[in-house]
Amino acid sequence: MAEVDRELTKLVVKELIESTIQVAKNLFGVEIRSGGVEKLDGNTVRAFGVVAAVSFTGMFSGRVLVSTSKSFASELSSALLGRTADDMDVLYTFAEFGNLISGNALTKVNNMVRGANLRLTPPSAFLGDELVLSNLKVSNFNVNLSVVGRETEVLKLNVAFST
Amino acid sequence: MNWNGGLPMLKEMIATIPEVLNSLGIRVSFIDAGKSDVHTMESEIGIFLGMIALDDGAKGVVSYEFSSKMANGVIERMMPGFGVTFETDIGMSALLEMANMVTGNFVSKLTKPFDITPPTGVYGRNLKVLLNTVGPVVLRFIILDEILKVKISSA
Repeated sequence: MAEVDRELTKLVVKELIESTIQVAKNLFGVEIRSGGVEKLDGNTVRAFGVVAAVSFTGMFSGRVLVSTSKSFASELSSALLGRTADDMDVLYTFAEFGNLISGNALTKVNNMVRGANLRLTPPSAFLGDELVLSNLKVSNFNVNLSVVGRETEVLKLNVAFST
Repeated sequence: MNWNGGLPMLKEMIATIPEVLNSLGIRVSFIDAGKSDVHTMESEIGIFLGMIALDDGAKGVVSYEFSSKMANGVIERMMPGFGVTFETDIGMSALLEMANMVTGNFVSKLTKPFDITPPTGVYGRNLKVLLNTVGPVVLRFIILDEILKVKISSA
Protein backbone atom coordinates (compact mmCIF):
# COMPACT_ATOMS: atom_id res chain seq x y z
CA MET A 1 0.00 0.00 0.00
CA ALA A 2 1.37 3.41 -0.98
CA GLU A 3 2.07 6.18 1.49
CA VAL A 4 -0.16 9.15 0.82
CA ASP A 5 1.63 12.13 -0.77
CA ARG A 6 1.23 15.81 0.09
CA GLU A 7 -1.19 16.61 -2.74
CA LEU A 8 -3.44 13.67 -1.97
CA THR A 9 -3.38 14.58 1.73
CA LYS A 10 -4.52 18.11 0.88
CA LEU A 11 -7.23 16.80 -1.43
CA VAL A 12 -8.63 14.33 1.11
CA VAL A 13 -8.63 16.91 3.94
CA LYS A 14 -10.26 19.53 1.67
CA GLU A 15 -12.99 17.12 0.57
CA LEU A 16 -13.63 16.07 4.18
CA ILE A 17 -13.99 19.70 5.28
CA GLU A 18 -16.41 20.46 2.44
CA SER A 19 -18.36 17.29 3.14
CA THR A 20 -18.61 18.10 6.87
CA ILE A 21 -19.98 21.55 6.07
CA GLN A 22 -22.50 20.10 3.60
CA VAL A 23 -23.63 17.17 5.76
CA ALA A 24 -23.99 19.35 8.89
CA LYS A 25 -26.21 21.68 6.90
CA ASN A 26 -28.30 18.94 5.27
CA LEU A 27 -28.64 16.67 8.30
CA PHE A 28 -28.85 19.14 11.18
CA GLY A 29 -29.50 22.50 9.51
CA VAL A 30 -26.32 23.81 11.13
CA GLU A 31 -23.93 26.18 9.39
CA ILE A 32 -20.27 25.37 9.88
CA ARG A 33 -17.17 27.41 9.09
CA SER A 34 -13.77 25.90 8.67
CA GLY A 35 -10.71 27.07 10.56
CA GLY A 36 -7.19 26.25 9.45
CA VAL A 37 -5.63 22.83 9.08
CA GLU A 38 -3.04 21.96 11.72
CA LYS A 39 -0.59 19.06 11.53
CA LEU A 40 -0.24 17.22 14.84
CA ASP A 41 2.82 15.49 16.22
CA GLY A 42 2.52 11.88 17.31
CA ASN A 43 -0.06 9.15 16.85
CA THR A 44 -2.52 10.13 19.56
CA VAL A 45 -5.56 12.39 19.51
CA ARG A 46 -7.27 13.64 22.67
CA ALA A 47 -10.96 14.28 22.20
CA PHE A 48 -13.91 15.36 24.27
CA GLY A 49 -17.60 14.50 24.33
CA VAL A 50 -18.66 12.48 21.32
CA VAL A 51 -16.46 11.13 18.54
CA ALA A 52 -17.40 9.43 15.27
CA ALA A 53 -14.72 7.26 13.66
CA VAL A 54 -14.52 5.80 10.17
CA SER A 55 -11.44 4.02 8.82
CA PHE A 56 -10.57 3.58 5.17
CA THR A 57 -8.23 1.55 3.05
CA GLY A 58 -7.31 1.39 -0.63
CA MET A 59 -4.43 3.12 -2.44
CA PHE A 60 -3.58 4.47 1.01
CA SER A 61 -5.20 3.99 4.41
CA GLY A 62 -6.19 5.99 7.44
CA ARG A 63 -9.10 7.08 9.56
CA VAL A 64 -11.42 10.05 10.06
CA LEU A 65 -12.64 11.38 13.42
CA VAL A 66 -15.38 13.96 13.93
CA SER A 67 -15.95 15.18 17.48
CA THR A 68 -17.92 17.70 19.49
CA SER A 69 -19.19 18.25 23.03
CA LYS A 70 -21.72 15.83 24.44
CA SER A 71 -24.25 18.62 25.02
CA PHE A 72 -24.08 19.83 21.41
CA ALA A 73 -24.19 16.27 20.04
CA SER A 74 -27.26 15.57 22.23
CA GLU A 75 -28.91 18.74 20.99
CA LEU A 76 -28.29 17.79 17.34
CA SER A 77 -29.43 14.23 17.87
CA SER A 78 -32.61 15.31 19.73
CA ALA A 79 -33.48 17.79 16.98
CA LEU A 80 -33.00 15.10 14.33
CA LEU A 81 -35.05 12.48 16.19
CA GLY A 82 -37.74 14.87 17.43
CA ARG A 83 -37.38 13.67 21.03
CA THR A 84 -34.82 13.77 23.83
CA ALA A 85 -31.89 11.65 22.72
CA ASP A 86 -30.29 9.19 25.14
CA ASP A 87 -26.62 8.19 24.97
CA MET A 88 -27.19 5.38 22.47
CA ASP A 89 -29.23 7.71 20.24
CA VAL A 90 -26.33 10.16 20.29
CA LEU A 91 -23.88 7.39 19.37
CA TYR A 92 -26.07 6.17 16.48
CA THR A 93 -26.61 9.72 15.19
CA PHE A 94 -22.95 10.63 15.36
CA ALA A 95 -21.84 7.36 13.77
CA GLU A 96 -24.15 8.12 10.83
CA PHE A 97 -22.89 11.71 10.71
CA GLY A 98 -19.31 10.41 10.41
CA ASN A 99 -20.38 7.86 7.82
CA LEU A 100 -22.06 10.47 5.61
CA ILE A 101 -19.12 12.86 5.87
CA SER A 102 -16.52 10.21 5.06
CA GLY A 103 -18.65 8.48 2.41
CA ASN A 104 -19.33 11.67 0.46
CA ALA A 105 -15.76 12.92 0.67
CA LEU A 106 -13.99 9.69 -0.18
CA THR A 107 -16.39 8.92 -3.05
CA LYS A 108 -15.34 12.26 -4.55
CA VAL A 109 -11.67 11.38 -4.01
CA ASN A 110 -12.25 8.02 -5.71
CA ASN A 111 -13.82 9.80 -8.67
CA MET A 112 -10.96 12.29 -8.91
CA VAL A 113 -7.95 10.05 -8.28
CA ARG A 114 -7.46 7.16 -10.63
CA GLY A 115 -6.93 3.89 -8.77
CA ALA A 116 -7.62 5.38 -5.31
CA ASN A 117 -10.24 2.70 -4.65
CA LEU A 118 -10.78 3.90 -1.06
CA ARG A 119 -13.28 1.81 0.89
CA LEU A 120 -14.78 2.64 4.26
CA THR A 121 -15.37 0.53 7.33
CA PRO A 122 -18.71 0.63 9.14
CA PRO A 123 -18.85 3.82 11.26
CA SER A 124 -18.17 3.76 15.01
CA ALA A 125 -18.87 6.31 17.74
CA PHE A 126 -17.53 6.98 21.24
CA LEU A 127 -18.83 9.01 24.12
CA GLY A 128 -16.97 9.88 27.29
CA ASP A 129 -14.61 12.17 29.15
CA GLU A 130 -10.95 12.64 28.29
CA LEU A 131 -11.08 10.26 25.33
CA VAL A 132 -7.76 9.16 23.90
CA LEU A 133 -7.60 7.66 20.41
CA SER A 134 -4.34 6.21 19.08
CA ASN A 135 -3.08 4.79 15.82
CA LEU A 136 0.15 3.21 14.60
CA LYS A 137 2.54 5.43 12.65
CA VAL A 138 0.25 8.08 11.20
CA SER A 139 0.32 11.67 9.95
CA ASN A 140 -2.41 13.48 11.86
CA PHE A 141 -4.28 16.59 10.73
CA ASN A 142 -6.73 18.59 12.82
CA VAL A 143 -9.35 21.04 11.58
CA ASN A 144 -11.42 23.18 13.94
CA LEU A 145 -14.87 23.95 12.58
CA SER A 146 -16.92 26.68 14.23
CA VAL A 147 -20.70 26.67 14.38
CA VAL A 148 -22.16 29.89 13.02
CA GLY A 149 -24.22 31.71 15.66
CA ARG A 150 -22.99 29.36 18.41
CA GLU A 151 -19.64 30.77 19.45
CA THR A 152 -19.12 28.22 22.23
CA GLU A 153 -19.66 25.16 20.03
CA VAL A 154 -16.91 23.59 17.97
CA LEU A 155 -16.75 20.55 15.73
CA LYS A 156 -13.33 18.99 15.30
CA LEU A 157 -12.29 17.00 12.28
CA ASN A 158 -9.19 14.83 12.52
CA VAL A 159 -7.75 12.85 9.62
CA ALA A 160 -4.92 10.36 10.08
CA PHE A 161 -3.01 8.77 7.21
CA SER A 162 -0.87 5.66 7.70
CA THR A 163 2.77 6.36 6.98
CA MET B 1 -20.77 -9.79 4.83
CA ASN B 2 -22.41 -13.12 5.37
CA TRP B 3 -21.03 -14.53 8.57
CA ASN B 4 -23.40 -17.50 8.38
CA GLY B 5 -21.34 -20.37 7.19
CA GLY B 6 -18.58 -18.37 8.79
CA LEU B 7 -17.76 -21.10 11.26
CA PRO B 8 -14.39 -21.73 9.58
CA MET B 9 -13.73 -17.99 10.03
CA LEU B 10 -14.40 -18.19 13.76
CA LYS B 11 -12.32 -21.33 14.06
CA GLU B 12 -9.45 -19.47 12.40
CA MET B 13 -9.75 -16.61 14.91
CA ILE B 14 -9.93 -19.04 17.84
CA ALA B 15 -6.75 -20.68 16.53
CA THR B 16 -4.94 -17.46 15.62
CA ILE B 17 -5.16 -15.72 19.01
CA PRO B 18 -3.13 -18.39 20.86
CA GLU B 19 -0.71 -18.73 17.94
CA VAL B 20 0.19 -15.04 17.96
CA LEU B 21 0.06 -14.46 21.72
CA ASN B 22 2.05 -17.62 22.49
CA SER B 23 4.76 -16.25 20.20
CA LEU B 24 4.84 -13.21 22.49
CA GLY B 25 5.16 -15.41 25.57
CA ILE B 26 1.53 -15.06 26.62
CA ARG B 27 -0.49 -18.17 27.43
CA VAL B 28 -4.06 -18.23 26.15
CA SER B 29 -7.09 -20.39 26.91
CA PHE B 30 -10.26 -20.20 24.86
CA ILE B 31 -13.40 -20.01 27.02
CA ASP B 32 -16.42 -19.76 24.74
CA ALA B 33 -18.16 -18.04 21.82
CA GLY B 34 -21.46 -16.18 21.97
CA LYS B 35 -23.43 -13.46 20.26
CA SER B 36 -24.45 -9.95 21.14
CA ASP B 37 -27.14 -7.63 19.69
CA VAL B 38 -24.95 -4.61 18.94
CA HIS B 39 -21.17 -4.33 18.61
CA THR B 40 -20.30 -2.26 21.68
CA MET B 41 -17.37 -2.32 24.08
CA GLU B 42 -17.60 -2.88 27.81
CA SER B 43 -13.94 -2.81 28.82
CA GLU B 44 -11.63 0.06 29.78
CA ILE B 45 -9.49 -0.17 26.66
CA GLY B 46 -10.41 -1.19 23.15
CA ILE B 47 -8.61 -1.71 19.88
CA PHE B 48 -10.60 -2.07 16.69
CA LEU B 49 -9.92 -2.61 13.00
CA GLY B 50 -12.04 -2.80 9.89
CA MET B 51 -12.00 -5.73 7.48
CA ILE B 52 -12.93 -5.11 3.85
CA ALA B 53 -13.24 -7.92 1.30
CA LEU B 54 -11.22 -7.23 -1.84
CA ASP B 55 -13.64 -9.07 -4.12
CA ASP B 56 -17.14 -7.88 -3.18
CA GLY B 57 -16.38 -5.05 -0.72
CA ALA B 58 -18.10 -6.82 2.20
CA LYS B 59 -17.16 -5.19 5.50
CA GLY B 60 -16.63 -6.15 9.09
CA VAL B 61 -15.23 -4.88 12.38
CA VAL B 62 -12.90 -6.76 14.74
CA SER B 63 -12.36 -5.46 18.27
CA TYR B 64 -10.16 -6.48 21.19
CA GLU B 65 -11.13 -5.45 24.71
CA PHE B 66 -8.67 -5.19 27.59
CA SER B 67 -8.71 -4.26 31.24
CA SER B 68 -5.88 -1.89 32.19
CA LYS B 69 -4.16 -4.69 34.13
CA MET B 70 -4.29 -7.03 31.13
CA ALA B 71 -3.19 -4.30 28.71
CA ASN B 72 -0.16 -3.45 30.85
CA GLY B 73 0.65 -7.15 31.24
CA VAL B 74 0.62 -7.64 27.45
CA ILE B 75 2.83 -4.57 26.98
CA GLU B 76 5.30 -5.86 29.58
CA ARG B 77 5.50 -9.20 27.72
CA MET B 78 6.01 -7.46 24.39
CA MET B 79 8.50 -4.90 25.72
CA PRO B 80 10.10 -6.41 28.80
CA GLY B 81 11.95 -3.97 30.99
CA PHE B 82 10.63 -0.80 29.37
CA GLY B 83 8.20 -0.13 32.22
CA VAL B 84 5.63 1.57 29.97
CA THR B 85 1.85 1.45 30.27
CA PHE B 86 -1.01 1.69 27.78
CA GLU B 87 -1.25 5.40 28.59
CA THR B 88 2.03 6.07 26.80
CA ASP B 89 2.37 6.31 23.02
CA ILE B 90 4.87 3.47 22.94
CA GLY B 91 2.78 1.24 25.22
CA MET B 92 -0.37 1.77 23.18
CA SER B 93 1.64 1.12 20.00
CA ALA B 94 2.50 -2.34 21.35
CA LEU B 95 -1.21 -3.14 21.85
CA LEU B 96 -2.06 -1.80 18.40
CA GLU B 97 0.72 -3.89 16.89
CA MET B 98 -0.58 -6.98 18.67
CA ALA B 99 -4.11 -6.40 17.30
CA ASN B 100 -2.64 -5.78 13.85
CA MET B 101 -0.63 -9.01 14.01
CA VAL B 102 -3.57 -11.12 15.17
CA THR B 103 -6.01 -9.67 12.63
CA GLY B 104 -3.51 -9.73 9.76
CA ASN B 105 -2.64 -13.33 10.55
CA PHE B 106 -6.33 -14.20 10.84
CA VAL B 107 -7.39 -12.69 7.50
CA SER B 108 -4.42 -14.26 5.71
CA LYS B 109 -5.89 -17.68 6.52
CA LEU B 110 -9.33 -16.93 5.10
CA THR B 111 -10.29 -18.14 1.64
CA LYS B 112 -11.88 -14.76 0.84
CA PRO B 113 -9.25 -12.02 0.32
CA PHE B 114 -9.52 -9.22 2.88
CA ASP B 115 -7.74 -5.93 3.46
CA ILE B 116 -7.60 -4.57 7.02
CA THR B 117 -7.62 -0.93 8.09
CA PRO B 118 -5.09 0.58 10.51
CA PRO B 119 -5.91 -0.34 14.12
CA THR B 120 -7.35 2.38 16.38
CA GLY B 121 -7.05 2.25 20.17
CA VAL B 122 -9.44 4.04 22.49
CA TYR B 123 -9.79 4.62 26.21
CA GLY B 124 -11.27 7.29 28.44
CA ARG B 125 -13.44 7.92 31.48
CA ASN B 126 -17.14 7.00 31.36
CA LEU B 127 -16.56 5.45 27.96
CA LYS B 128 -19.55 4.30 25.88
CA VAL B 129 -18.88 2.79 22.49
CA LEU B 130 -20.81 1.82 19.38
CA LEU B 131 -18.52 -0.06 16.98
CA ASN B 132 -21.15 -1.45 14.62
CA THR B 133 -24.93 -1.53 14.59
CA VAL B 134 -24.76 -5.19 13.61
CA GLY B 135 -24.32 -7.65 16.47
CA PRO B 136 -20.96 -9.41 16.76
CA VAL B 137 -19.82 -12.89 17.55
CA VAL B 138 -18.05 -12.62 20.92
CA LEU B 139 -15.05 -14.84 21.60
CA ARG B 140 -13.68 -14.97 25.15
CA PHE B 141 -10.17 -16.03 26.09
CA ILE B 142 -8.25 -16.06 29.35
CA ILE B 143 -4.91 -14.30 29.18
CA LEU B 144 -2.87 -13.16 32.18
CA ASP B 145 -5.71 -14.31 34.49
CA GLU B 146 -8.19 -11.91 32.88
CA ILE B 147 -10.81 -12.21 30.14
CA LEU B 148 -9.90 -10.91 26.69
CA LYS B 149 -12.99 -10.34 24.53
CA VAL B 150 -12.61 -10.46 20.77
CA LYS B 151 -15.68 -9.40 18.80
CA ILE B 152 -16.28 -9.77 15.07
CA SER B 153 -19.24 -8.20 13.30
CA SER B 154 -20.31 -7.76 9.69
CA ALA B 155 -21.76 -4.63 8.12
